Amino acid sequence: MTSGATVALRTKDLKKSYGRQVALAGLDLEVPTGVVYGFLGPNGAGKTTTMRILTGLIRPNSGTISMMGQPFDRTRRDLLHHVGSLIEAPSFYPHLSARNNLRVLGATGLAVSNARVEELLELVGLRDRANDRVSRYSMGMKQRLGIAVALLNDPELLLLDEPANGLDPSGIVGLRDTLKALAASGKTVLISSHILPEVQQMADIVGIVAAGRLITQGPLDELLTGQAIVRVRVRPDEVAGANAILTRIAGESRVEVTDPEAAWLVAHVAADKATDVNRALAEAGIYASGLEGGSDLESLFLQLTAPPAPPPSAAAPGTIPGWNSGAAS
Amino acid sequence: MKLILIGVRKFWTRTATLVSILIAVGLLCLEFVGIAISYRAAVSGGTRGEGMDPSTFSWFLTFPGAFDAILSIIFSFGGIIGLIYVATMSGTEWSWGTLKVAVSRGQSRSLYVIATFASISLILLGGVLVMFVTGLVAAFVGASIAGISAGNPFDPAVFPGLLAKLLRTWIALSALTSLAYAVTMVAKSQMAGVGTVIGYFLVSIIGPALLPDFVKEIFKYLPFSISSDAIGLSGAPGNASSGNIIDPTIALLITVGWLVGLIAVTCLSVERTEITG
Repeated sequence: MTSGATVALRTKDLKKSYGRQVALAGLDLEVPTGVVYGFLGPNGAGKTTTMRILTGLIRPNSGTISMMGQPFDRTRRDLLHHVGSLIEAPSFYPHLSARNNLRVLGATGLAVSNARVEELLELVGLRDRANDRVSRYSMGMKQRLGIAVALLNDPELLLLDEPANGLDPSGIVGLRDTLKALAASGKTVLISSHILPEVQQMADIVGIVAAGRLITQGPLDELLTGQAIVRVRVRPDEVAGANAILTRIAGESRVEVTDPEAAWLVAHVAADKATDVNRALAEAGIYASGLEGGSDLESLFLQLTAPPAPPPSAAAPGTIPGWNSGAAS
Repeated sequence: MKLILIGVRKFWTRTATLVSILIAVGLLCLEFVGIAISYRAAVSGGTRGEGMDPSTFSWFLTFPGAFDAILSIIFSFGGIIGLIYVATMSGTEWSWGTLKVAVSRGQSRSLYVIATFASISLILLGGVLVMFVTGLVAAFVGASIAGISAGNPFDPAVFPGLLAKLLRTWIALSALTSLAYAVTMVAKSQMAGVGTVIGYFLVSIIGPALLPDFVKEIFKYLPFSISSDAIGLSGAPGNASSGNIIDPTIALLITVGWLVGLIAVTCLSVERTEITG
């Protein structure tokens, strides 16, 4: 995937179990330098476990990791001096101010200057509240401070687990701009998030994991191009005719009737073919009551991570469709 | 060194630090007032003072005996409060997730464990000094209530030995509280730390009176008893339970051994543990 490009982070056959619970079943990640990498997966896919391993909090059962071209294990914790992270909820001393938290937490690992602390307070928009106790902060303000902690040592590699949690719209825009700017300056950002439209706006490369394995990994544009669709809704008695027209445009085996009752058809063609589809249907006297083109990350994600549908009799009473894909992470 | 000083700053500014010192100081003052009142009762010979020896109480209120009395109170009241304080302080490193941040920033786990305890130990030193100075004042006030002279606390013959005893008290308290630190850090829970050390403290006080002789022998070398002996207090006259069981120098060496051993165990455990949550 990255021939010629340097790799900031690589994992090879990474495995981790908690008792009988397999969290990672042989994860192979490859994150090139200078990109925003969207690390996606359903709940329990192994994302947080991966983040914990990458920050030295837990050890893998087997497998190898290299960071910035060097092997990383418990004897090379110094590599973490060049890594910034925000894993799960941000952690602070609630009785201290934001400024003092940055100073205290900045005293661990590589020493951080007071000037850097002030710079980060400005960057995350907390300068005006920098002397307030963190216990008085809102969730969004704590998240901003957590991002500042992750950036303390001007890291080469940034690992962020749900960094947009609790941020207001301006905070999200600020985060997006900051991460893009970091990647543009040659830093590498690995971001795990369930807010897929946000990831789609930020990520250059995406890796999707499920059940502790990498399902797909590659440049976002390429992945989405291969997943482009046009969805059409017609009258139920016009499904056969519409199917024939869509097959003519999209090709054999590229059209599905996803919902016969509601008469939705999906053609796997580029989203910009929606106009052609509409015109062809109209010329045949079929007027679509619904038509949309798309190639969104959410569709790709759901398609790749959807568990096999259980037989109707096997469904647990009260189970909400789509909520049965996760375990624990 | 920076990690230790930063640690002092983060612990010193916690409300629990001030509250703990105030409670310890309050108990110390109450103790001296109580002793003064008991002395008056013993001297007056009323029903409340029946069978009491005034010299036992005057020893607490006059220097140099008051020095040992102050240090003894620092170790006993300060010890139990210190145990709870240390378990609370170290437990929040887990519950607040700040240990997680330090480790993920590439901080050596063992160094963090040692530096954190060193910071707490320096706070304990501050607490010991505050209690000691308060104790001096309380002894004078107590002597005044009792209607006797407290004597000269700045006797040049006593002062060097006093500094050594103060230092020993701090080491003894550090060794004792390292037990709370170890339990809390290994169990990753301040509740486990507080519960265990309070249980241990009570067993150390009550246990020797109830248990068979061979168990008593073991208790002599456990942190609470041995640290108490390490201070080398003389004990009040007529008080059979006071005084040292083990020679103070040997006790000090064993105390330091406990301190180093417990911190080493903590380091090993934290090095190996998985940090989740």
